[in-house]
Formats: sequence, structure tokens, C-alpha cells
Amino acid sequence: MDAKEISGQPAGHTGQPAVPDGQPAGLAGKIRALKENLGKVILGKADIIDLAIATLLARGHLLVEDVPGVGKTTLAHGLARSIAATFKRIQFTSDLMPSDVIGVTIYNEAAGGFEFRHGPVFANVVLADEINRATPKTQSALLEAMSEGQVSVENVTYRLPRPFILLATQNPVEYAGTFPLPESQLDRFAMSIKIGYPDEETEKAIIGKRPFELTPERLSPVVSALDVTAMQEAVEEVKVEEDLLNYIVKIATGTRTNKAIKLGVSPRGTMALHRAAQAMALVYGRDYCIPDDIKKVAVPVLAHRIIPAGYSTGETFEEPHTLIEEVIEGINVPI
Amino acid sequence: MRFNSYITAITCLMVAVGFAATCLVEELSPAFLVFAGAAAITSLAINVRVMMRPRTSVSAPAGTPAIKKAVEDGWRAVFNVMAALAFALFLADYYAISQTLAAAASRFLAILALIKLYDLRSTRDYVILFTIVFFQLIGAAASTVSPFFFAVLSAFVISAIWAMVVFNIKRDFEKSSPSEDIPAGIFGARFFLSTLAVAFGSLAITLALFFALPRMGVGLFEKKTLRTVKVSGFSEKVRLGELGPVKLDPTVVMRVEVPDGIRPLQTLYLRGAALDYYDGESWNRESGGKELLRKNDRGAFTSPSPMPAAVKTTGNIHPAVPDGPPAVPDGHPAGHTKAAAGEMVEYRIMLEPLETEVIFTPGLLPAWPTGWVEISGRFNYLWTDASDTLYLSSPPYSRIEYTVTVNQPALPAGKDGGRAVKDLSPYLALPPAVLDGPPEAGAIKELSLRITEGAGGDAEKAVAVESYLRTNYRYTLDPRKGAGKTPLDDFLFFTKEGYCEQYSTAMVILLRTAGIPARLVTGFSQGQWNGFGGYFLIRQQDAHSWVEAYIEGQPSRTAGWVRFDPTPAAGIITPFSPLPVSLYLDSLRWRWTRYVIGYSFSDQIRISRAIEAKASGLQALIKTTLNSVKDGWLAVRDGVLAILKPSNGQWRRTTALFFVLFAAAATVFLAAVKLRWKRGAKNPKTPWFYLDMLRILGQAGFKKKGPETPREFAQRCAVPEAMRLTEAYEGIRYGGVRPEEAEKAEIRRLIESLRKKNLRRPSGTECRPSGTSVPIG
Repeated sequence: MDAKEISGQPAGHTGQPAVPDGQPAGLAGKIRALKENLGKVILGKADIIDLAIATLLARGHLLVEDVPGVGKTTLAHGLARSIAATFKRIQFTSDLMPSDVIGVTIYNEAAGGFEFRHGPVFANVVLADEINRATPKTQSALLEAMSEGQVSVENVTYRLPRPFILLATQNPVEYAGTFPLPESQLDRFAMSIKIGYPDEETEKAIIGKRPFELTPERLSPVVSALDVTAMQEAVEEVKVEEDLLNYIVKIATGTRTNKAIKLGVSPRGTMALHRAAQAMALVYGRDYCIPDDIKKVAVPVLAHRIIPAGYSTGETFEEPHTLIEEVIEGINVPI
Repeated sequence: MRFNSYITAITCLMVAVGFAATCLVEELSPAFLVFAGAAAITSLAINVRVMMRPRTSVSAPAGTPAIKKAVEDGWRAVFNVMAALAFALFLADYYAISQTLAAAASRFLAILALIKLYDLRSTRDYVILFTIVFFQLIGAAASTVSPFFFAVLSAFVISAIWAMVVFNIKRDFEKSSPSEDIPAGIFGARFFLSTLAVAFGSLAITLALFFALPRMGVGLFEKKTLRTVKVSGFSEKVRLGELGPVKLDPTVVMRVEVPDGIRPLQTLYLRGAALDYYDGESWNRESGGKELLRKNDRGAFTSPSPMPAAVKTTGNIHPAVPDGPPAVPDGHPAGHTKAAAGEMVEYRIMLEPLETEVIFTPGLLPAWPTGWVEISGRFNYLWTDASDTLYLSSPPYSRIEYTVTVNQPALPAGKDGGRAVKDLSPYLALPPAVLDGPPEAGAIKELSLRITEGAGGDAEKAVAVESYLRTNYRYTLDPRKGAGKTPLDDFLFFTKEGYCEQYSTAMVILLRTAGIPARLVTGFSQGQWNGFGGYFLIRQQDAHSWVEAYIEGQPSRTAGWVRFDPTPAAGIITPFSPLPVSLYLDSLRWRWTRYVIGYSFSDQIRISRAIEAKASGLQALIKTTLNSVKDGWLAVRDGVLAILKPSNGQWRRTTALFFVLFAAAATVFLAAVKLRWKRGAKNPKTPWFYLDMLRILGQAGFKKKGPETPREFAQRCAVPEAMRLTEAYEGIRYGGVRPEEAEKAEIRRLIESLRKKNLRRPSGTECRPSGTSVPIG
């Protein structure tokens, strides 16, 4: 028996002309198209692509954290390019000001008054490259945008376009002249993923390709912004059986009671885990969650939200993702 | 476990309970029960086999629906005809053959249940079967007073609750989604345990109500007729030699509860009828008419003789008498620490229905054989005569219970013990047939003179006769025929052997010859002590006869009747020694009759007074409880052998016990199976096939770890069927997917193929990392 296919689109959604003809209809088909599209530029990392798409469907923001050169920007850019939506890229530097991100009110002589010049954050997909290089002031300028999908400048609130997803990258190796993201901001990222090095076969395939073939610019959009909204709505309908809800809560509680963890997962983290698991199920083509979905997203969703014991005192501590794995291994899966 | 297995298991349980109840009906023959049991087991075996078969092959033989329906109707007609035949058989049985309703109805119900067992198709059939079981239970309730009924009833209450729940679920499920398999996982161990708790709770409440509700009328069970025990030797006329065959019969006739449950050291005599006239062949009662006893204001019958004043125990009228094995000087109160001189003690007697209207009174001391003070029981009239025998108006038709208050150890002062004796002449009469017995007339007189020679008073003479008979004659239950004219002559002069009747007859005649008034008393000796219940268990074989002589010039009183027992100790002590477990069972039966069936208003008052009095006696209660638990354990330990070789006459109880144990074993088995699966499946929502899969894989060495997801487990097993089943399982379990018929068939096929597969765990599978790179979707 196969898992139930997602067919048809949720009510209220109409077809999007921006999507090229010949693409399979239906949400499942569109998700598959999205995966295939991203797979053209990110080789051998199907898991990572799935997670990235799940973040998008969960209305979350994605933090890609890895050493330079493994494809962080390519992934973010590729995702942005696959959606027929506006895309902005901000290269964060230490002298970047909040107004450079949000926008600025300037005097328009021709019109004879002040007007608001929209910053790069006003886009469906925003790539914040090397986010930890900016000052905390600029970083926190993104807070409202990330959590509420709006920005406020001089008592005026501007809504960001829908869907809105922030893809941030950060380099964990070079810390000189960086400002690590504060806990409150990290909590606002639905997932934090590491891409990792490709295996030898894939690496060989990568160098065998011409550079042009791996640039995100060659990708054409496969889904529209409305499609993404529909998918995001469908995620909320994904069924999570009661025992699985318990399982999710147990994982969250497990991080709070674990002795090796100084700060456990917040309720916002639990919510994120639930939503991400739903999105994951949809990415795999199901309209119901299974325990594997939860396990799959647990580390990316939770690892960046906890503080291991001994982290701030300079003692040796375990890596957050190992700690999350430990917690999961201690909880029985409901069958 | 499929839902159908529950139905089969519960049917087994109910049928077992029904047959256990039937076994308790005393009128049924063992052959019938064996036949019915065998037929029932065969049918259940067929049912189990049908259930085990996969669903697809159960389908009816090929043919159009019309033909199928015709076949179905045909079968139903056959079964209906059989039921009608059974009813005809019942009528014939009741009116012509057995003529007892209990037996005929029980047989009818058993046959009806058997017919239904072979015709179980719809839910309605099951309901009818369970109704029959219910009636079997009612039939047993009406015709047995066995305490095993309580066990059967408990089993019925529990299994009936289960049956009701299971069939309700079945019906509702079939109504709401006819094409679905009923998820068997709905029954967890918690379900069974909570049902048990509910059942026991309701039983406890019922019991509490039973004991607490005021008793106004006579219990339902009171009316029932027990089989009357045929006895001889307690009527107006007793032929010599009649008691002999009786002495081999182990039928229980009476149970006597002694005060405080402490075994007295003296031998207990249960006095029945006293006879005065001997014609050479048999004993008759000649003395006077019957006289109605008066009731006092407490509703108890009082002794016609004046209330004996409590005096200190003095004199010992015959010191030489060895009185049973625990030889303690008579009149010594050591055996009865509670019953100090002058204190009233109460004996509670439960008398089986005997074919005599005589009732029995207990006596310990030889000097006071008729020393009862008060008798209370549920009878309206009590008669007595000049010989202090007590009679009911007619032989009782059911077990009767009465208490006798005795002023036992105190020797009464005054002139008389017992009735005022107006005329002693009947107790001195010697019929001619006795006196001119062989070898020559006057031989008895001669013998009497020889024995009593040198003795001072009447008391000493009597003791001399008693000890002469005890020492010079041989006790046997099968005396030979001698050359004498009468049985007495044979005993005295020729064969010199006999049993209690010969001994006591001889003593009466010898005493009368010596001029001492004497009479023959029939009754029972104490029988067997049951330490579990604190009572004496008296059987037919404990029937006994002894002598009462009117002795004048005693130190403590001027004159009175004194008991003598010339029979050697061998005649009183029964060789029969049952196993402790049977004694324990009998004590259960005693309590059941005593506290449940015969539970009365006076008991309620007694209990409430006792509770009041013993407000501080909680400690003692706990001690008693622990002791009785210990007793029970010892009895069980000693009784393992007894179960291996059930003694004669206990087969009915054993069979009933067997069925109850069978039902209990089935229950335990069910619970065990349930619990075993529960370990793997913490949730009753888990579909049966996944549990089956886990079990099959588990047997092959693949055990699912707790934190492992179903999919990870399937990956680790690397069995294609497991992968497919896991996918199906996920859809049903987490997605709420309702499988279609084709998918259900597919699942069954997969389980079947998994079962047949020779699974062997590849080495190193356990070490394979579970997890991260498993594709899911």
C-alpha cells in the first residue's frame, strides 16, 4: 500500500501562469519538480535539499552553517531561483547598517515630500550571506521581519511580500571580526543545517561539470509564489497522530531534563519541530506524519536552539547535534 | 490476535462455566457429563480451527447466493428440529423417566447448549448460547448448596462482562463499517484488568449487601430438598444388627461446631434416642407419650428439668473409664478452658436431612448425659418423652441447623439429672426371651452376679460391667453367627465378638439383671475433628450406641442417669482418615452453608454484637486471617497428592473444580498472551498484522528496539514483506487510512508468506547502524 498521494490543490489556490508548461500538476508534482530543480546544482545532497524545501513549506527561515565552498550560497540561491518570486541577496559586512537592509526614508524633491525607499528585505526570498559578519544592530533589524513578516520604520509598518523566507549562511570557522548570532535570533530560524563535504563520487561528478552548469543562475523557476503559499497551507493540514504529538513533546522535554544540556528547547522550538515534521511528510508525498519525519528534522530544528552544559564556562561540551541525537535515542517511538 | 480469537476464547470460557455449573447439579450421572463435556470440547476444537483458517478460504462453497441461502436455511431448520427434539426429550424425561425437574432441566439445557455450539454463525447464536449458560447457572443455583457454586458464579460474572463488552463492540463495529476488520488491538491488558476489577467490585458489593440487608423471611435456598440420608437405628424400634452396615458408610450426617473452635479433650457423644424395651431381637420404646416443649421469650426451647445450679465439679463417678484417646479425667475442665464450671456453652449443629425426626444433643461428661439447657433452631415444635429423647414433628426435608446450650462441666446438685423419674420399672424389665437364653436359663444372671461380685454400690457395679465387656470381648463389624438363640446369647457366650450394639445391649441386660435401671442410647460419637473449621465432622460410620444407667448414691448428687460406654476404644475411633485437603474443602462447605445459605437475622445480630464487643480485636482478626491463609496453604501443599488421586465420591466436585480451573487457565493464558504483545505494542491502536509481524520477526531474532522507528526496523530486517507491511501499517496507524479489500487481502498474504519464510537473522545485522541514510518517503 502506498502512502496517499497529494493530489489536487487546496481550495483558494488558482493556477499560476509563471510556472512553465509541462510541469506536473498538483502539489506533490510541484514539490518533486522543486527537488529535481535544486538537484541540478546541488549534487549528492538530496537530504539537504529535502530539508531546505521543508523549511520553506514550514514558513520557516533557514540557516546554512558550514565552511566556505560547500554550496551554502548555491543552495540558498538555487532555492530562490526555483521559485517564480522576487529574490534579493544581501552580503553582510561589519559596516552594514539596518537601513541598508530594511530601507530608508528620503526626501524626494520632485514630489516634495519624504518617501520610503524599500530595502532589500522586501522580497520573497532573501539571502543573507555571512550573516554573522554584520553588527548586532543590523542583525536585530531582521528580527521583526523574520518573526512577523513585516518591518516598521518610523512608526510605519510595511508588510513583506508573501511568501517570505530568509536564507542565511554563516561560516563557523572564521570567527575573527564576527558577531555570533544571539540566542533569540537563532531561535527564529526554523532549521539550521550543515551541508558537509560531498562523497568522492559526487565530488568527481562536480568537477566533471562545466562551471556554468552548477550556477544557480541557469535554473528556471518551477513553482510560483502562490504555489508555495498553497504548499504552506497544505502543511498545516498534514495529520499528526496523537501519539506522535506526545513523541514530539517528549523530545522537547527530553532536551530540558538532560543533564548535559544547559538550556533546552523553548515551546517555539517544539512548535517548529511539529511544523517541520509536517512539512517533511509533505515533502515525502504523504499527508500524515510518521515517526521518521520527526526524527529526520529533529537535529536541524533543535540543535541550534540548545546550549550545552559547559559551553559558556569554557569546559568541554558535547556538540549540540550529538546531544539531540542522544535525547532521541532515549525515547521510545510509539508504534 | 484477531478479534475472532476473543470471541472463541470467551465462548470457551462461557461454555466451561456452564458445564461447571451443570456438574454441580447433583442428580446428573457422570456418564452424561462425560459425554456432554466431550461433545463440547469437540465443538470448541472445530470452532478454533475455523477461526485459525485464513479468511479467504472460509468462504462458503461455490454456488449462487440463492443456493447458498437455501443451504443455510436447511442447516438452520435441522438445528431447530434438533432443539425441538431435545425439548420433547426433556418432557419425556420430566414426566416419565427421572421425574425430577432439576435433573431433567439440567440435561435439557446441556443438550441445548451442545446443539447451539455446533451452530454458531451469527451474533444471535452466541447470545442464545450465553443465555443458555445463564440458565444452567440458575439451574445449579436451585439445586446445589455446594460452595463451589460461588467459584462458578464468580467465573460467570467475569466472563459474562467480557462477553457483553466484546459482542457490543462487534455489533457496533459491524453496523458502522461492515467491510472492516475489527481492530483486535482495542483490548489491552488494562481492559481485562479493569473488567476483573469491576467484576470483583460488584461481587464485593453484592456480598456486602447480602450480609448487611436485614433478613426477614426464609432464604430462597431454604426450600430446597436435599437427598435424604437413609439411616437406621434412631427410630422407635431398632433391630440388633442394623447398625453394622451403617458403620461402613462415609456419608456426612452432621457437623458440630464446638465453642470457640477448640477441640475438647473428652469424647463428644451426640445423644439421639433412648430405648427401654428389649424383646430379645430388637429394642423398642415403651415409656410414655411425647410432651411438647415450651419456648422461652427468646424463642428457644428450654429443658423441662430444672435449670441445674452451677456447682463446683466434685466427685468422679467412674475413675477407671478410659474415655477415648485423649484420656483426661472426666469432669476436668482442662479441655474446655472457656467452659469453666457453670458456664453456658453453645454447640452449633448442622444436621443433614436424616430419615428420622430425632435430633441430637451433644454431651461430654458421662455424669450429665442429658444436660442441655436450651435449644434454638428454625423449627416450630420440639417434643420430648420420658427418656429425654428429642423429636421434631416430622423428619426434616432439608438440612437443619440448631444450637444447643449446655451447662456441661457443672454437675447439677439435687435429686435428679434429666427428667423427674416417676417410674423406673421399664428400665428394669427383663423379657422372658432374655432370661431363658442358652446355654441354660439363668446363665445371664450368673454372669451378672460374677461380674458385679465385690462391687460396693451401683456405680461400682456399673463400672465393673463396663470394664468387663471392654476387656473380654472382641470388637468386629462382622460378627459370626453362633449357637445361641438370640444375637445377645451369641455375643455373651459363644462368639464373644460384636460391635457397639451388642456391647451396649449386653451391658443394659447385665445391669438390669443386677437390679440397676438402664437403657440403650443411640446416637453418634464425635467423628472427625476438622481443625480448619473448628468443628466435628460426623459421618454415618460414626453411628454409635451406648448405655445410660440410673445411679443412686453418688457423692455429688443423690441420683441420676449416667452414661457408660462398654464398647472398646477401637469401636469409637474411626479408622477413616481423609486427606487434609478434603477436610479443608469440607470446612469451606461448612462455612458456605453456615454463613451464606443459612445466614439469618440472628446471625446479623450476633455479628454486630461481636463487632461491638471486639472493637479492639482487629489484631486478633488479622492473626486469624493469617492463620487461615496458612492453613489453606498447608492444605494445598498436602493436597497435591489428593488431586492426583481423587478419592471415591468426590468426582463431582473434582469435575467442577476441573472446569473452574480450566476457565481460570484460559483467562490467565489470554492475559499472558495479551501482556506479551503489550510489551512490543504499547498502544492498543496498533493493527493486528503489525503485531503479528513483530512477533514473527521476533521469533526469527529481529527485535524492534524502542527508539527505533518502524521504518528503521524494517530497513534493518531487510525483509521485503516487512517493508511492505510497515508501509501499510504506517498508513493505517498514523494516517488513519482505511485499507480496501484488496489491500487487506494483500496484508494477509504478506503475513502468511512471512510466516512461512524461513527467516534467519543474518549475522551482523544488529551492528548495522540504523538510521541516518535511510531514504524515507
